[in-house]
Amino acid sequence: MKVNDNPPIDDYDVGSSTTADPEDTEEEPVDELVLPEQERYSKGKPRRIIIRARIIHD
Amino acid sequence: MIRAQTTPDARVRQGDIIREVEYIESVSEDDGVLEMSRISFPFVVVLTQDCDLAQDYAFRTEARLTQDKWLISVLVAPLYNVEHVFSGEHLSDIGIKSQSINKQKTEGRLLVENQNPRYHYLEFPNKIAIVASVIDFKHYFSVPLPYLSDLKKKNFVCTVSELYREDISQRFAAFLSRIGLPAAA
Repeated sequence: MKVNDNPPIDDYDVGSSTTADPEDTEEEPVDELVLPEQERYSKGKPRRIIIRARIIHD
Repeated sequence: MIRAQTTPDARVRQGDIIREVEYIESVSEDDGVLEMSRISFPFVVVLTQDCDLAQDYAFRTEARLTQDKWLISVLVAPLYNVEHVFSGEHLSDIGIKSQSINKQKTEGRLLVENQNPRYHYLEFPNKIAIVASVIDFKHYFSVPLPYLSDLKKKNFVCTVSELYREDISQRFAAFLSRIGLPAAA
């Protein structure tokens, strides 16, 4: 499956510790819960990462 | 549609597509606080000539008298989701708005047919989970070879096969060597 939209990776529910009502989960399409890693990355855009660290002199 | 191999070679190759490659855009220090800003690109393609990469690998892994063929860095260019490029939003997460390209009009057709010198359109076979993408030759950058070589071990996606790799390389060289003429008065 190739997807062209661009939701953040964190938007995907890859599992939950909450116990769900069995009736609710019966019709849950399992394939949509877990996406292969590369497919998730294929939706992404370049992002900026900023790191700040205090310099400690010995 | 291009062809590509999904079995990684031991060394970095021209045409390798590697995910989550980081570019350090600035490092500064102020009052004892170090700040580093990086851009993480979802996918890049390696543009450095393959013979240079092969010689580098040979000189690093075989007994040689010198390090004459060692490379310092590798040229790469980012791949963007073509739909994001059409909308001009492919760099929106880093605060850059680009000109949109109407895919229904001539400008969109020229991009997909690789007749716009700046862009190289790629469609991947189904076995490779990358959406239709565009290499933007204007956004090439370099990364240290040891960094990319190490990253390839876990983030390798595929290697563009030779014919399609040469097409990318030739078009990139043409883009870099173009001559800017003054605009007509």
